[in-house]
Amino acid sequence: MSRKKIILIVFAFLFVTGGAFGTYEFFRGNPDMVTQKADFIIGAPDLLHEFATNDSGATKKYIGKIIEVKGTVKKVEKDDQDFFTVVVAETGNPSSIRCAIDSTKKNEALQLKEGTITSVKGIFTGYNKDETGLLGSDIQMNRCVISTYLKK
Amino acid sequence: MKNFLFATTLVCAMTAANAQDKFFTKSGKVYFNASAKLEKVEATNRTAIAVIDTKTGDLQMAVMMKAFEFEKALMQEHFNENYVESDKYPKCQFVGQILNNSNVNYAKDGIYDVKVKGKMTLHGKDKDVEANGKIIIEKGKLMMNSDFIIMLSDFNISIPGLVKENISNETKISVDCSLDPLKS
Repeated sequence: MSRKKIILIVFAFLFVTGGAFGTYEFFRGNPDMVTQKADFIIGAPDLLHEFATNDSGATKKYIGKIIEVKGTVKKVEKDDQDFFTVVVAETGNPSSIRCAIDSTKKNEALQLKEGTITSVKGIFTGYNKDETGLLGSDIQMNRCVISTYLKK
Repeated sequence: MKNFLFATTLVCAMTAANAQDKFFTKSGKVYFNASAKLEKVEATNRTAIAVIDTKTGDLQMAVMMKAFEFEKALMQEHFNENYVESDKYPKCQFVGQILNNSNVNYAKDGIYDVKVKGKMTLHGKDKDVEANGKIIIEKGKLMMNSDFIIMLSDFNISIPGLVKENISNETKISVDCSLDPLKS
């Protein structure tokens, strides 16, 4: 095989591989949290305490990372488009962890009951610090899935 | 005895009235659309915080930038890393007022056209924004809708020339919130 042909084959190979990779990247959907490994596994009281003590440090630590948090379900909210938010909180603490459930995992959210202990895994997207004292501060997580169902 | 009952009822009524002064939500929806000729660029945020003071017409909203969900992961990554730089500027905030608040009867079911004006903070930059919208009162709930346009360049978000046909500087924002009474 001539040198010219070998170079052409290599370039053709790189072109096809590069094109395939580029196409894959362009159309890549968001990962299903069920299959993703958590960057942090933590109890709700510890996570809430971490933010209450140093919210800027905690935000820097967790922003964009996958957190699996275990705690008590305070409320399961449903909006007018059937999107669910699971609110994990501790008794006597006005702050909470708001877990916006992945739109493909609605059935799991439907089965959750208030007062049960559960693990929720999702991406930390921000901390809403309550300056008014009326709303409570919230740790916001998105694309959440319910890892385990545990009885109280 | 009669005076005592009257006074107690009055205090209870005043407390109940105060409880309806503010409405809030922590799961408001905000849609972002910067689609251009060659590409659909749109995302939904379902975790917006909104508070309305019905007495003063004050309206405040806060939206986490990383909570905007795109269909394509790469687009979401570029949005956060290259455009809104959400690690540096994690939140978009709006502090404003309903200019014709006195025209809204929050105690009566109905659809009310409103004009809102205030300061939006996005990507570390403040800009005055004015928008038309609707407040809908229905069975004790308050719904708030608005569509308006912002220019990304007003917030120091620049679109490189190479992708000007893919991402529009003129961006449509749609707000759709359902608020409940805030019990203080």
